[in-house]
Amino acid sequence: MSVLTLKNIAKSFGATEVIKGIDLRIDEGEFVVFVGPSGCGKSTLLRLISGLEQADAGEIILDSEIVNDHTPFERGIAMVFQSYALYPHMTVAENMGFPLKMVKEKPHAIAEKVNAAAKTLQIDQLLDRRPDQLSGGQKQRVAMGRTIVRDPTLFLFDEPLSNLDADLRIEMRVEIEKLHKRLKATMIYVTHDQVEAMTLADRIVVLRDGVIEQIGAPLDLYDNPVNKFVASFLGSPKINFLSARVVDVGEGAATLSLRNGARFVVPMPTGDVKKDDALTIGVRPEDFAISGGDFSIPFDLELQEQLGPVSYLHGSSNGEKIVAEHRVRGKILKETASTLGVNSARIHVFDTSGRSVRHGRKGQET
Amino acid sequence: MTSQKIKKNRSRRIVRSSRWRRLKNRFVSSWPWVVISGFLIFALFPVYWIVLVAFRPRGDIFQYPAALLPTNLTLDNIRFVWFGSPTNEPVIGFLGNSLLISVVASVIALSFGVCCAYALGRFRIGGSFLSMWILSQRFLPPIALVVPLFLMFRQLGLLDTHLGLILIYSVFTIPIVVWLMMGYVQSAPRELEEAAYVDGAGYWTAFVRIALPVLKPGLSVAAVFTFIFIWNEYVLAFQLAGNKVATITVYLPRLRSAIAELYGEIAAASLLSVLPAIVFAGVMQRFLVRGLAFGGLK
Ligand SMILES: Nc1ncnc2c1ncn2[C@@H]1O[C@H](COP(=O)(O)OP(=O)(O)OP(=O)(O)O)[C@@H](O)[C@H]1O
Ligand SMILES: [Mg+2]
Repeated sequence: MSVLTLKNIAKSFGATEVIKGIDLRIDEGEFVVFVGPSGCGKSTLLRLISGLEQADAGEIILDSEIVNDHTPFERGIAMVFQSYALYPHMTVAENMGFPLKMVKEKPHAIAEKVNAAAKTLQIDQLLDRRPDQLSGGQKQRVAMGRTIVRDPTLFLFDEPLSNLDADLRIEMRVEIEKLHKRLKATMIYVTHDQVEAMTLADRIVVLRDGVIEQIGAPLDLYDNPVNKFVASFLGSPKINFLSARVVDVGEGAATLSLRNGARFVVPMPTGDVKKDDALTIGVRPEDFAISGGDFSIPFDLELQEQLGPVSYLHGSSNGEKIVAEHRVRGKILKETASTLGVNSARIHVFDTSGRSVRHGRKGQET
Repeated sequence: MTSQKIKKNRSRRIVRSSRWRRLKNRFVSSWPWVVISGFLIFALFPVYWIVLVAFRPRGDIFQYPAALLPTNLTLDNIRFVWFGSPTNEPVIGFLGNSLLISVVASVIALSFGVCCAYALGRFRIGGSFLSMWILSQRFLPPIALVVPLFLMFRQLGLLDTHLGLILIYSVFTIPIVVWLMMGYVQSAPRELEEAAYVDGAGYWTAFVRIALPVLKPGLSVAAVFTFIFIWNEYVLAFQLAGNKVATITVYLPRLRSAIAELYGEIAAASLLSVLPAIVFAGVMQRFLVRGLAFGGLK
């Protein structure tokens, strides 16, 4: 079992700095998900942890040992690649037995462990096939099987499900969650998929351009993003941004006005805001309501997407694009939704640099 | 015009146009075959002629106008090269030399070449400079190197030996193997070997157990190239050897220097000399096709 600590890890490829000083501690048995836009360095960070890539600076510590100079194998990690990386010339059994063969286990012991792993992953009837005779989901299972046969202490997954179709993805996601519960191993998981991140993670690490933007439990990140980037990265449909202006600063609260002139008071630390400051407020789609709220904004409905129990109202307010969630079934009229109400306790406020001035729904604030 | 007439006319026009289209389609789909057949006849006619001459009695070879179809065939020429004559040794010894030298030199070139290509392609050792330098070894025509090689071979006692030819052919074909295999190495998925490292394999194990099997199709292409290059090589085989150790390419022109021009016999010997290369290429082709069907990724 292992605790992984990264201390000020940096990595460049040639002149481009890809990882810029990352500090992170991952506890034993934790499931941590790395998310971030394409090219932000998720895979690179994972490969640094695995030992497939060497860090230029910083320390990688497993338990209490610095492992910077250890090979991937010595680190005792297992990795599932996005492409599965099954050995094409070996059968499923040989693929899964390969790590055991490398540590010179006896053939019958290998067969035993491979069979056991194959049973748990329900691929025991495929053991004699070669990878090109398998479906995507089956390949995925084999790739996972190859990692679990030798009881690694740390699992690394690099977008393991991104080549699967939607149904299979959900199935395998559940499978991975079960695996985590059963093995109680530490897992690090890279994904583009928000749902995977929200459902699997104990903690999510949001990366941008090689730095960590925020770390936290999924709902914590969702409710208390530290900046616009994190706010817009989590949540689907995305959070809406509206420009606002400070009209009055009081004690522990400020009065803001929107483009349409709507005024409302938001409780927030007021040390850094002055009258006439330009701010951005963020409202999640589910925090709009057709009636109610502390203040309302005009809304020009353009399109209603009905998904059954919810529908998404696409439109604009004073030229700013808005998507609002509507939890009542049925078609809604443009006139009925000509304004949207907002509860001022549930909005996020960001300053011009994009930093959060006040977190939305923190327990003690609302 | 009545409407019926119009209809009839139109339908006739449709019938005609569809028939025309079918004809046109047939022509369009068949013209590549016409071109290919024409080219094949052009390219293969000399081969056909060799076969014909190999089985013709001497008197028929020069008849004018030439007989295009096989008539009056004989096995005399084959017998002559196979069993030899008082002035000519049997062909089998030369074929044996060629086979031995080609196989051993190819194996050496492939073993060294693929290791080298792997190092260059995977780990970028020496950057593009080293790989270019290796290829540049083949810019010189062999004949330009014959004199220094001859002198070196004499000093080392390698003249007219199997070992000498094997060494020089290995050296000459390694650059070809390196360049061919580098492409295969670079396009082979790196993740397979990375997975092997994670699974506990060292560099060598990952190379032998994982990379090599994946590179097999490329290796068979390289094997065909090197084998046929060495099998067909004449200049070095003639200059650095050719008395005690003579290859098939040295044997062929020798037939000409006997009392008469032995065209029928040369043709027969040529036929025998290309057979092993054809068989070898045929065998390798099976690997080529199978290799491409590997689908370990995605
Ligand atoms: N071997 C390499 N040589 C040079 N640049 C590299 C190398 N590997 C990655 N990079 C660069 O580093 C940056 C981060 O790449 P990385 O693969 O870590 O991104 P990512 O977050 O995994 O993206 P994605 O979500 O698309 O997989 C990219 O700009 C990429 O071009
Ligand atoms: Mg990636």
